Amino acid sequence: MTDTLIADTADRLMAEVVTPAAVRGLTDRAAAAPVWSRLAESGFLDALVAEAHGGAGLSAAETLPILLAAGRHALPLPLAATMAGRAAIAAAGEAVPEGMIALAASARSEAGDLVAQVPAGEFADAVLVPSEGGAMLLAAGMASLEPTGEGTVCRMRWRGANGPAIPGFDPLRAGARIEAAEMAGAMEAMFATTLRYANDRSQFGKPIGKFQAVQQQLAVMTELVHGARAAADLAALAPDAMEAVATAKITIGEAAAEVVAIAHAVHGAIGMTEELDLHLLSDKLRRGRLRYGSERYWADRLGAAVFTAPDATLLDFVRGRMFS
Amino acid sequence: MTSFQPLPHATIPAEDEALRGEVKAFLAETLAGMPPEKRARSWMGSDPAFSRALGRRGWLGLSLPKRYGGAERGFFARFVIAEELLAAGAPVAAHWITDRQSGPLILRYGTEAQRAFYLPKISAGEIFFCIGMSEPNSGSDLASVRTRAEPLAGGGYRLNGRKIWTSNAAICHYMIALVRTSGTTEDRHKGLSQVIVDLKQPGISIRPIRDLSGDAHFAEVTFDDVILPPDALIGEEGAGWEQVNAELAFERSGPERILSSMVLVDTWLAWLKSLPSPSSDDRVLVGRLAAHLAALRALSIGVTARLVAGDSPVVHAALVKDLGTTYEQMIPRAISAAIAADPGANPPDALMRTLAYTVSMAPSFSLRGGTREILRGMIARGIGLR
Repeated sequence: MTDTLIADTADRLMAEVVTPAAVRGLTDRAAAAPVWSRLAESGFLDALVAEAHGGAGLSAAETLPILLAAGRHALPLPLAATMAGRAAIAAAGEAVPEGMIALAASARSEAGDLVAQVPAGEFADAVLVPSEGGAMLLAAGMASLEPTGEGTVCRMRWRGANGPAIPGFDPLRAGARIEAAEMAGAMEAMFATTLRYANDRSQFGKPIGKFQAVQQQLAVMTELVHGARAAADLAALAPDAMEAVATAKITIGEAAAEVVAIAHAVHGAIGMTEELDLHLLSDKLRRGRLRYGSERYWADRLGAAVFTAPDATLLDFVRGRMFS
Repeated sequence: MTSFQPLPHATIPAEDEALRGEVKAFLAETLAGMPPEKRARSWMGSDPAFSRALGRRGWLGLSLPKRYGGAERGFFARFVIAEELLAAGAPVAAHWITDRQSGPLILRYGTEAQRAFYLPKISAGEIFFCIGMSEPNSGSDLASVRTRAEPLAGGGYRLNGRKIWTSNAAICHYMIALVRTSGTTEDRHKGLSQVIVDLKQPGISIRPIRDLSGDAHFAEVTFDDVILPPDALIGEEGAGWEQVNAELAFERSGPERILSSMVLVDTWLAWLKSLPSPSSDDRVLVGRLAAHLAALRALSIGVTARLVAGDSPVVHAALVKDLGTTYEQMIPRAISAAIAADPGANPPDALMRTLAYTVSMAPSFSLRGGTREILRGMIARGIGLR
């Protein structure tokens, strides 16, 4: 499949299945089942699985259009996480579980329990949690769930957790890259919606998009959306490089805050209503910034890498780690 | 472009990337001992001898054909060399504008005679051009220029008027000026042309203007009945506006719109690395600076790929410049806050002088080459709002 073919297929599927009404109704596993079965039929789930293991053997960069489309439609289900998880599990020679796979951002022991923070954990059938040297695959059905009630992460608790080891797979890094890519997609949709609104809405006898103050804000939004896509591309091309993933999560997270503010400023009061779909995207971006480490977390890690690197200049560091 | 059209991801070809090591070695030797506050001048610091040395090495006129003395290497070779020159803070101002836009402009719009005369000298670093765009009453409103080149009966022009904020006019040999050759300022974009002015001709006076850091790269250039030969015209008479805009796409998207504060960053980093351990705040700032540099570099490479493909990516260039200069301006602000976070800190004097220079010059980053507001207006037009 070529890039454009994947992009078109993903967009068509999401437009049909991941409608605003469907997104609003995606509150738990039962509600998610019909949407998920349509997404699973797409053939995307094994896109990243190596051909030797029966998948399509595509790269992260080749499947980026699917993540962008998921973001544009504010999909709350872990489609991209499942794709990445299935590829990692297959590569480790373990049996790939049915259903949705979520990626935990962190895991710790608490009185003999394993407690993990899992974005989209409330939907998951299986979870990849960070563990020594990679990840561990756990069944979601064995965990007790403690959702926060606001959709960012679900706290999951396993008593005597034990599952197959998936060496070399870092759920936090993969999760951050996926989340950033979906955020870049969500920002594109937010830009398109806001531009349309600025052309449609009239005040003082003309579309508000004719006013210079509004034009300058939409110009800034254009810049931020372009920057976000460039960062998502960088991370997709170097998914194993912490530096590239950090770059995406930092720059896209910072841009998202500004993009949401501009979108709402341009939309005015109507943008604050339940009825308008805009908040599905703002909420996607709110969750995205909070998941898998914020800009600050990744900037701290990226900064630490600069301090230990032998490079003479910051440009040398950036070139060597992300462009070679 | 009336909606979101992402810049396709592009990479620098390996043969161009291969130039980097040689340039680094040359700069390490040539710039040894040059203090950071001098290097912080970046593409505002000039040294004609340094520019000629680059010419001798074949690092000027990289995008020009070999028959005009160029390297026939294209925009990515220039990108690599420009990055290294800027990161090192080399004094590139003498040739910078010539190499970046005057050479490509003459190649694109010049007659064969003009190409044969100017381009080999440009490639050798023997002649430098400045750009005559702004005037005392024409800044952002460039189409209102009044400098007039009156066509003469026997051919040629009589030039009268004044250009201002002309960088490095005092050390340049020629100016490519945007002037009115017909009509009045009411005609706006119509009737404008570009002419090459030999700055040694009688009737020209060049008055340097000191900037707030004490440097005198700016100048005011006055033309008083200057007689121009017929072949002073570059391109078509009356097509000056389109030509200038095509030229500005070269000017707006390169590494110089990202790296203006890099000497400060590296000087600050070198000091931090000499301390026992960085604070968490400093680490976070360094991480942010690295991340934004990476994302901007990807965008700038994307615009360069469009230039290579023969496009004139006006809107993409404008948005990269606005994002890039925002980053360049964020750096001195953030490093000021970081250095003085501890009232007992004892940063090196050279770092503080570098910071002082960069802080004071930072406002110009989003003025030169088109102000932030003008660029955002161009982007708004690009997305169909105008």
